[in-house]
Formats: sequence, structure tokens, C-alpha cells
Amino acid sequence: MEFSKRLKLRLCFAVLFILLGILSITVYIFGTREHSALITLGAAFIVTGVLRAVAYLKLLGDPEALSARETEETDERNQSIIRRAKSLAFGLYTFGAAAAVIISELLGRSSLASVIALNICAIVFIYWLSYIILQKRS
Amino acid sequence: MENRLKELRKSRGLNQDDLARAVGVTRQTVISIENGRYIASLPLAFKLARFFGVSIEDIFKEE
Repeated sequence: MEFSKRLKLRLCFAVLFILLGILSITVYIFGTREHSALITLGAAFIVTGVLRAVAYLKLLGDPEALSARETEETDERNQSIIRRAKSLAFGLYTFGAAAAVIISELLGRSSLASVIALNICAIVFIYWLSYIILQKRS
Repeated sequence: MENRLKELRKSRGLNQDDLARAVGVTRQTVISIENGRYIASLPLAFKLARFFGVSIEDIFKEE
């Protein structure tokens, strides 16, 4: 997909963020007003959406900045670093979580250990599934 | 993998930024390739070869 089209899609998501924020605040105002977190959530969505929308609109209006951003985002070394960082984060998280399972079990918190263990199983399963799909596609 | 990227770039009187713009990568990528810290992908190697008007083997060679 062309980079400017991708940016326009991101702009749509930013607008969606703003709409979600407005919806969240509206639900709080016209609802039972029990969940005040809706205000914080709504404000966060609106601020994030507006900031992103402004940034994307600025980029779309400046061809030179757009080209520089495209180069930065599609740069193969950057892509490679991102992939390696994700892989490292996955490995570290899995080992950290495995250690947390053992420690939780030793501390007698079996239910916590089970939750973390299930989490590891889910992540490993998703990894395995992704691997199979990517293997068939390439 | 060794490469002659720096030599070719200098022979054309280009700086790293010019070369990066010409092949659509960041300046950091050009620096990393020149220093041998990053090995260019095949599509990038082709782009570099085409840009300099040489073959890939003229830029990159196995150690």
C-alpha cells in the first residue's frame, strides 16, 4: 500500500479514537455517572486522537516530511531492528514469566502460578500458529 | 562480508545522506553498511549496484 494511503488510514483510526472518546464521555454524562473512569478514558482517547490526527495531517501536507517519514518507517535496517527487538522481548518475557510461575508456586500462590502458566501457553500457542501461517505464505 | 560502498560513494563525490536518499534508506543504514555492521538485503544490494552502475559483486564480497 502506498505510504500516503496508509497514513490516511491511520488518520481514520485517529478520528475513530476521537469518536470513541466522545462516546465514552457521552455515556458518562447521560448515564448513571457511576463509572468516573469513563471521563479519564474518554479524555485520553480524544487527546491521543487529536495529537495523532494533527501529526498525520501535517505530514500529508508536507511532501518532503512525508518522504522522510516513509524512508524512516520502511528502512530495512529499522525493520530488522524492530523484528529483533520483538524477538528479544518475546524471549525475555517468556523466561521472566516462567520464573514467575516457579516463584509463585514456591510462595504457595498456586492460582497466580496457573494464570501465568496459562499466559505462557497462550503466547507459545500464538507463536506456533503464526509460524505455521507465515511458513505457508513464504 | 566486506564491501566497497564507502570507496564507491566517495569516488562519486557523494555524502552518506545523498546516497541514503538515492536508494531510499536512512543515513544510519548507509553508515552501518559501510562499517560492516549491517548486511544489505538483496533488493537494497540491487538498488546500490544499479545506482553505481556496477554489479553486486563489485560492491560486496565474501570475506
